[in-house]
Amino acid sequence: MNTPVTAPAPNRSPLVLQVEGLRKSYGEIQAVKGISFEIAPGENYGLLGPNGAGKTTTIQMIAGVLAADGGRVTVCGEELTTVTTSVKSHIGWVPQEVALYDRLSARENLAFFGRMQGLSGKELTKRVEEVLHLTALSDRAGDKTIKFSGGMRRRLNIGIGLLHQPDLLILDEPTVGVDVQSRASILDQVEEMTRHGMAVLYTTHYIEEVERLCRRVGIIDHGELIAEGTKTELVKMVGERDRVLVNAVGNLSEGVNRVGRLEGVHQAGVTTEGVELLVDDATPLLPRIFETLTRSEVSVTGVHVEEPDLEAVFLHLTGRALRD
Amino acid sequence: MRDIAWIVLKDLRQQVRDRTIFIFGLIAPLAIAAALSLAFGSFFQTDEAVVFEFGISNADAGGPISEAFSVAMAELETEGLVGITFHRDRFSLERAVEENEVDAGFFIPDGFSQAIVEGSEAEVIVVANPDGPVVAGVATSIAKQFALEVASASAAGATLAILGGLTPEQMVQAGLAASQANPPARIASLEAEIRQLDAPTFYSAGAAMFFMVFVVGTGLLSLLEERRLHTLARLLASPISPGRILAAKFLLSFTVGTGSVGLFMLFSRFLLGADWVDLPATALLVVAAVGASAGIVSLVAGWARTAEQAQNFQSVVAVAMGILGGTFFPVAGGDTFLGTLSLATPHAWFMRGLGDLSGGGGLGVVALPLVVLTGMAVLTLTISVLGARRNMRP
Ligand SMILES: Nc1ncnc2c1ncn2[C@@H]1O[C@H](COP(=O)(O)OP(=O)(O)OP(=O)(O)O)[C@@H](O)[C@H]1O
Ligand SMILES: [Mg+2]
Repeated sequence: MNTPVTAPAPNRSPLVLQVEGLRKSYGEIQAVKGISFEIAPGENYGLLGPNGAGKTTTIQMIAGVLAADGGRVTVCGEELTTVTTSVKSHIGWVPQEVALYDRLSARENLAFFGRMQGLSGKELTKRVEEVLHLTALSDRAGDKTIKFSGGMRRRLNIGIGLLHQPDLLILDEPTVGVDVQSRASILDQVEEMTRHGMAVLYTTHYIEEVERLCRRVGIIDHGELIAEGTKTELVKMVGERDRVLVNAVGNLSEGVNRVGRLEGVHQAGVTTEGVELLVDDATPLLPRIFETLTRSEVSVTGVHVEEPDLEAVFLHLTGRALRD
Repeated sequence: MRDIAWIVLKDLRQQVRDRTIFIFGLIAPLAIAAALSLAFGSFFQTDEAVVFEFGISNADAGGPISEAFSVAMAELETEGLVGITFHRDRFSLERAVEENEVDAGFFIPDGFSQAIVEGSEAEVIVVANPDGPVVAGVATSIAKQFALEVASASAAGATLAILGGLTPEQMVQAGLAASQANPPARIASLEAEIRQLDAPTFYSAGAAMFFMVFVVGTGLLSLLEERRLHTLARLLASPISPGRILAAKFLLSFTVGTGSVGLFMLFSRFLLGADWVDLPATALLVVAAVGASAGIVSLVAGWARTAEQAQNFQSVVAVAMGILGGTFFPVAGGDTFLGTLSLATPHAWFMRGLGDLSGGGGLGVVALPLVVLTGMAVLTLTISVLGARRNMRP
């Protein structure tokens, strides 16, 4: 799954996507309550939130599939609504639910949706074959998709979004229900896309995926964007601390005592393996920690630093775990 | 336009793979039409045989107009279209009808010609057996046709009168003479009424209409199906407007409807011997009838929330309209309650149009059915398109 992909045409607009005050209610339920964010060309943006947070609703409005109650979506400098057409070709949308014609083959599905995107002739044929290769479906291209496994359907679902080489690829939980192997290849595929300048909007409730793929992250809960920034910024914002696990032997209690008095260290304790510390920022502190421990006749055999992850950030912000 | 065509082609491909469309569009109507025309075929006349025996009793003997009626009927007998017997009085005519010696009778009341000349109400009374609604319908048509001719003859006579100063009686006679001077047209128009569709054609037309309604909701159904598969959302995210997606779905209904009727007509022509005269006019009737049926089905099925529900609604509409529209049994004239109600179905107008065409005469004779069907189509399609718009969401 690593065929070279031709880069989309360079985009002159400073932003690929601009979302301002987007709102949507389903009857009594306020699914999205005024969400705003921006994505620059080639940027990977992750929308992280638990089930029912409003991720899909937001994305469907951005893709121009669902009419918003209020707010504005601008794609490559042009406003996008459910009835605007031309600007939609800048977007490749991979819906959360697999959306395929089950009585048509993989190739027929791709060809049809390619035509809907305005591709035709040799270019269409070329792109269909490229995407089949990219999604590792070339040898099953002629089979009706009803005969496909869940993972194969997912891969084709993503492939359709890539056909027309959009400026912005929107993926709505693309790895749900996929085995480890397929999941890894999907993530590879997305990384490959960004290397070629495609911007990505990626929603998930898997922290690892966002941490791996996305430069910037928006945390969404109950229809609101409650925090936004790079992972480091978010962690700083909520004041979460690094956990330093030191494997050590010797006079541990004396060591803990002295290290605990260092500036920037908030907690220190003895464990079965050695010493555990909670610090503001581990990187600049490590040399002084080693030095202090050595002076206390403790010999260090190993060290492991656990930076706080977005899970901790989410927990801090909402008082709930991200996954139910 | 290209994008609409691609959507229709994609849907057709799926329909063809699904095969139900062939069952409803071709196999079922062929089987039903074959069975019905075998079972009831003898009820209908064939081209060669004289089927209708009419009795005439003239209480207005010597009246110029009643004589003209007898002459006109005798002419039809010479043409080999009907058989004629004359009866002494109304009583013996009624007995002859009751005892099935004749299929129907015409009684001309005393003073008939005089009344017409004076411009007051008078008509040829049809004596019919309730067991034979078809022949009664034909007899009524003949009587009406004659009344129409008398009226136009009076007008023609009046023109002559202005030129030549005739008495009223001479005037009508002159008019009738003038209209008889041009018998082919007159015979042809009466012939059209008498020579209804033969059995294979009648049952083929009925079956085509009946089963067409089962498939003509395909467009709306496929829209609901695309919502279920989430592919509709994908289409909505493509650079094609929702209106064009909707247009494609209605075009699909239309294509499937006309396609199935067309294919069936072709097969029935060779397998059942159905006789489709005047192809261009018939084609127009088919197009208009499919449009009206698509509109009606989509209107009703538009209430459905799922494709399955819509499918059921479609079947109910198909059966109800099929029965009401007289596709399997000729509906008795327009005067009964059911006869009037049947005019609300495209079927009745389609069958009537084909009946009219069978006597020759081309587009002109089917103008009314065509206009009615087109009107039905425009009205119901507009409403159902407006209703279907609410489905254009993920
Ligand atoms: N079609 C709909 N009708 C009514 N309510 C809806 C509809 N779609 C979503 N909702 C509601 O809107 C809210 C947000 O749903 P949404 O699907 O956007 O969440 P999500 O973040 O994508 O969740 P998940 O991770 O489970 O996909 C939920 O409360 C949901 O029940
Ligand atoms: Mg979702």
